[in-house]
Amino acid sequence: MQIDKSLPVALAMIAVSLLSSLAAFAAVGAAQQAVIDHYAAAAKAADPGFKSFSADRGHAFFLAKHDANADTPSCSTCHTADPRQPGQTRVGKAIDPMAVSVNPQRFTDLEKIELWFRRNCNTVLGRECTVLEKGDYVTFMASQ
Amino acid sequence: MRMRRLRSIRRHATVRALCLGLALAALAILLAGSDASADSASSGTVLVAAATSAQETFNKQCGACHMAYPPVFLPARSWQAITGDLRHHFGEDASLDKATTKAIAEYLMANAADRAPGAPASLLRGIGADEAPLRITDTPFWRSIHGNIPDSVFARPEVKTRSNCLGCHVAN
Repeated sequence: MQIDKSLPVALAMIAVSLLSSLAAFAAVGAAQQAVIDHYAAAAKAADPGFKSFSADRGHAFFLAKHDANADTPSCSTCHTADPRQPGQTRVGKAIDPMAVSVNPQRFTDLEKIELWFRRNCNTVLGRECTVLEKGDYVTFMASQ
Repeated sequence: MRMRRLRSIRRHATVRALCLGLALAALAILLAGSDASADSASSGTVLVAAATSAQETFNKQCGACHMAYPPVFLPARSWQAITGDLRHHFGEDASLDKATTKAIAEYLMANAADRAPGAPASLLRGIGADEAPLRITDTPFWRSIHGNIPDSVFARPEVKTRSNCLGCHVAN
């Protein structure tokens, strides 16, 4: 009887420890994936034909030049053309790299992401970004 | 590196003026620090929700893009004007939610040149009562100290702009 009772407990403990080590292994990029999933759901709601985000489109968007603001024509004006490198604000303050591979904290906090998309899209494009642009951008940065 | 940088600046500005500026900057930082500690001491109890003081919020949010300028360098009406239109902040959208904006505005105004206890009167010299300069670099006080420094110094890559105090005044 004693064995019957302790066996399931032991099995459960093994299962928990296996699952937690798996979770630790999968944690890289999980937070970013949750953000991408959030934007994908919104994109699907806006356009039933939406398939998936594109890192290539995100890359092109990151480098694209706009004419809303001569001081900040592109995302890459401050972030540089290589998102693995640190950027610089217009008054010389360093900006941590955007690429998730060198800065795993990037794109893990939706509130922070939305704050900076709102402000920087208004600054660079003169309008808010679309869900597709945001999703592509995060997908690109998560791939870098 | 730092010595070389400062030496070359001294070539163009008087040592006395630079020292005065540094002393006032240090005073401003001291004032800001003592205000914050007075706030937390007077509250008696430390609440988890109050752990982020207005000064910390200011440092974090405004300091994300530029140096968290000591509020004592502008009068309260200037800070009111700046925080009143963060959507158009020197060519960028720096807007924040209402509660955060309010907390930052109150902190800046309470520690402004015309409100901070012990702030030197020279900070306000030459600013009309109806004037609200939006840039510290536009104040007669700043200009009196930095007026002799040529554009080429501010154009250096490590300085970039007059707004970048720490490009020359290296903090330790």
